[in-house]
Amino acid sequence: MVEALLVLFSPDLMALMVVGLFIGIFAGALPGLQGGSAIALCLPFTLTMSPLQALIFLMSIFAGAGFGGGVTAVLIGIPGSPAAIATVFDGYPMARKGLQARALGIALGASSAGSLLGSILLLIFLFPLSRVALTFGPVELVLTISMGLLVIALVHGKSVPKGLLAGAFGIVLGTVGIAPSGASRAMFGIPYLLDGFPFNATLVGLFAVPSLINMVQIDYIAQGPRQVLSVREIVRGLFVPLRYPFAFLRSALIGVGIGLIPAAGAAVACVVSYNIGRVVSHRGARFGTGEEEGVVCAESADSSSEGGSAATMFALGIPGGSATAVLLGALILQGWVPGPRMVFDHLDVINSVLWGNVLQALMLVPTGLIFSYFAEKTLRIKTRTLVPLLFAIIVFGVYAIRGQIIDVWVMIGFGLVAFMLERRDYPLINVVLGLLLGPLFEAEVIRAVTLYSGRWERVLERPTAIGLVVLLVVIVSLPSLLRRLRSARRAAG
Amino acid sequence: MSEKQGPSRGDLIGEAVVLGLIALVVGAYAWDVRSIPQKALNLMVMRPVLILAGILIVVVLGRYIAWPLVKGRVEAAAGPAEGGGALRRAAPMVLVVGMLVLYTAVFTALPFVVTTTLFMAITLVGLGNRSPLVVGSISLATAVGLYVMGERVLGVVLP
Repeated sequence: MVEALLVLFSPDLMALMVVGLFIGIFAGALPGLQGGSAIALCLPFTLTMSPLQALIFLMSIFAGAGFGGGVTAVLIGIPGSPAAIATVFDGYPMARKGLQARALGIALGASSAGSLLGSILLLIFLFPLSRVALTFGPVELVLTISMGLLVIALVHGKSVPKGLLAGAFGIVLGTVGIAPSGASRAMFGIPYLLDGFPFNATLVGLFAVPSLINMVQIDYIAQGPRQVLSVREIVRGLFVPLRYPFAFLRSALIGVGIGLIPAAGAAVACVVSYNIGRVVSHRGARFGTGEEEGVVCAESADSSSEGGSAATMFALGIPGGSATAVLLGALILQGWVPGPRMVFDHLDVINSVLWGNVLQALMLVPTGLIFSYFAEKTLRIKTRTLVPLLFAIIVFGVYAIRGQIIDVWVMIGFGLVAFMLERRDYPLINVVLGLLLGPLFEAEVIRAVTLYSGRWERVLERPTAIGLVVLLVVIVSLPSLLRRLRSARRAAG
Repeated sequence: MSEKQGPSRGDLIGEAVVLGLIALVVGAYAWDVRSIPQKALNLMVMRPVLILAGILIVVVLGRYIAWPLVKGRVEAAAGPAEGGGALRRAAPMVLVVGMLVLYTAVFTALPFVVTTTLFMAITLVGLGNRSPLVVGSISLATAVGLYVMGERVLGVVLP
């Protein structure tokens, strides 16, 4: 532990943490550019870094983006990311009452504390969880990956068939190249496709390009009358979550729990936590009118879910959302093999990263405070100045990795496809999951068939597999059950 | 009671383009792998995935394109004023994508600083930045900054 902490206090890692937090907060605050897009943008710059430096830097962006989304949610009523949607409900009414500094302080306090709790829980439970994950055989892994793809199709998209098609499309794209058995698939004689599509170019294309194309449609991030932000009020707001300890703890635990579910993500966590808060709290009736507790519920769940989704990513190699999907891509670029062995194969790095998460949650307070104070000016940057600059950076970054201009063409191609898919409500995260996990899914299915062929009854001897099947059935049938229950209630009342 | 609005013709065309693209990729994949030996493990996963994708393509086609057409629930095309507004909104996006494609096309043909400065300057002006000082300084600073970072920090050989 002491060793892991000592490593973290080196100047380069501390600097990467601060820079990462600022980039994350800024990117999170830009409507349309989410944590995943920001990580994808910075991905090419991590290739010259060691795995620890890369992870610390990218995880800092992840942590910063969790709070950044709340800044625009409070100040202009537009969530910087979907995960900040519930922050708008009470944060923006507070700003309209002239309490914008206090609302920002509450969001920052709840976000940092939520992130801290999520990081501590990750620190405590990652290794036991990973030990359980180590007992996972191919059947359990196939079921978990399927669960991830199904959850997204059912929860994120507006249409289940489109969500499933997006996942299948991702798997098709992810398995281009040489098959595990040695045959070439969908290469059309192009040697470039031997190893499939390059991760960096596809991830940047899928996440960053559509965000930037969309961003060019708005002139400024924030417009309208200037808002006065007093540091004293922000600092006072920081301590408000302490007044609602139960709301905070409940929301943070909900965040971690939902974050653990493969592919559920922070957006689901914060909406669920906010709605539970509204039902449970005796101030619930005031939610939506500028109630401080509402901001605490939304922000603490949003940030704590990072710990949960990071646990699933590290323990099983399955991302919890778009940001962790890109993080997983970064790990693959560093030569790591996703899966239950990942934590034990890179124990020392993971140990430092876990402590780094705790440190990032603490450092989020000063960096968030500085950003909040200057948010008024920062958010008045012309997006039409920012977009060409960010495009130049991503072209440079993607080219820099392998020095091949074809990678940039692949990025543009994937970017345009992603832009069109997004417009027609195909969940991009499902395409990414299919792309990243397709090869792993295929390898595990082959292993399962080789192991159990003709002896499938032996799967019944594995309680985890049975549990996962039950969970899978519940996940698949729950939405239609809830819909039927709601319509039955409506018919009755 | 307001009647539920159907999709517009533009929506249907959009759906058809995206679905066509997915179908093209899935179809091309299926076409390429048809000659792979079937008995081995080559297509154990991909054959069901391709079949599932095919079924889902038909489902999406039926639900989002054919059904509104059959039911006659397609809204009329946007009027000229609305259409003009949509074009105005799309113009900056088209400009950015066009410039990105052009930038990539000439990326290796000209020195990095020249292409990047030109890309930045033209895109900034095209997006409405009028001050020559701002456009010039941002463009040059970005190009030189990235060049120095690439050559000195990351050790990348740039054109």
